[in-house]
Amino acid sequence: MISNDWQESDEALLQVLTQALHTPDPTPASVREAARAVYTWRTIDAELAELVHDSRVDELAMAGLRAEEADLRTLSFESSTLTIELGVSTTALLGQLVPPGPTEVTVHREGSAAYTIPVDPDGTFRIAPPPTGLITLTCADVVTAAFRL
Amino acid sequence: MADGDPTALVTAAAGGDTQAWNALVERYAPLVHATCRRWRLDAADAADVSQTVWLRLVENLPKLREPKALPGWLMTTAAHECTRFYRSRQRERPDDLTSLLDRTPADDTDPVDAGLIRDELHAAMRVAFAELPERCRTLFSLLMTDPPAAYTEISTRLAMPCGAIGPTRSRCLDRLRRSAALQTLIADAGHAVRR
Repeated sequence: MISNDWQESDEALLQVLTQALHTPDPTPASVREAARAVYTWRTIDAELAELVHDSRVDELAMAGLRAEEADLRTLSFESSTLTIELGVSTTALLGQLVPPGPTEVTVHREGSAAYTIPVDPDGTFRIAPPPTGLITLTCADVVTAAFRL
Repeated sequence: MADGDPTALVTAAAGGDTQAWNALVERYAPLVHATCRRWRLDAADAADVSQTVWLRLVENLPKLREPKALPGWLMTTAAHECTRFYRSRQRERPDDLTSLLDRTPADDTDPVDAGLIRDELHAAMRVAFAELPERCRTLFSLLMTDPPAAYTEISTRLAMPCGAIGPTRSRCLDRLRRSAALQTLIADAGHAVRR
């Protein structure tokens, strides 16, 4: 058991503090590097569309789910002005903007150049094959929270 | 920037100051990582989830309501992302029982887990120490030397009468204990007991 005496006793608190400051930090250097690197994902002029639904997390696995249904991952992002719905299969990413309007979506991927794809007048877009890794999508002045595919 | 409160660093990082961001990472990355480890993520998964937590911070920098409470925000976000991680893994591998068993944070009656809990406590202590005013940090550094510095020496170094050292020490310890990082740990432990 880890003693919780430090919560009450000054002597115990000073003792734990001393141990903490004399114990080498076990954090791998790569963990700090990765944390420093994500600063480049900062966007200044765009409103964040939060991830409000991710089927891989929010729907519990069900016995009897058909394989093709299980393979389709759906994600929803919401900002105050725009909802972005994504369906991702092994072959393609399909997107729907609600309401339609923006004519293009920019795909940012960790470690590679951003690229832009057209959005049709109904607000749908398609990327095949789907991008992989850490991704954000920007359309007009809205950027999605980063997600992994 | 050497001092205490993370508010100035958060504000500067929100405004585009890379050095401020790096300073936040330097101070808080071990705490985020230790929290992920305490949730029993292995080294590779803890690294991934840590990175996600820092992404969430980048995204939320402009609207972080209480920059002072940053360590608590980071620990809570880490716990949230660990839970998400387990749910997605459970969906991918529904038959994998360990993914269910692993969903609970470490339990300090297990010797391996006790190490994870101690690491998180130490990481939280280091954060709490870094956030203290310089005067408290200097006092603690003098008290932690082996053997501890004499009160007369501390009195000279801090330009403080000997009679004030004891009360200052207890005020500084109280501040340490009330830090966001340690208060978040205490609140978590409370949940664990009630579970």
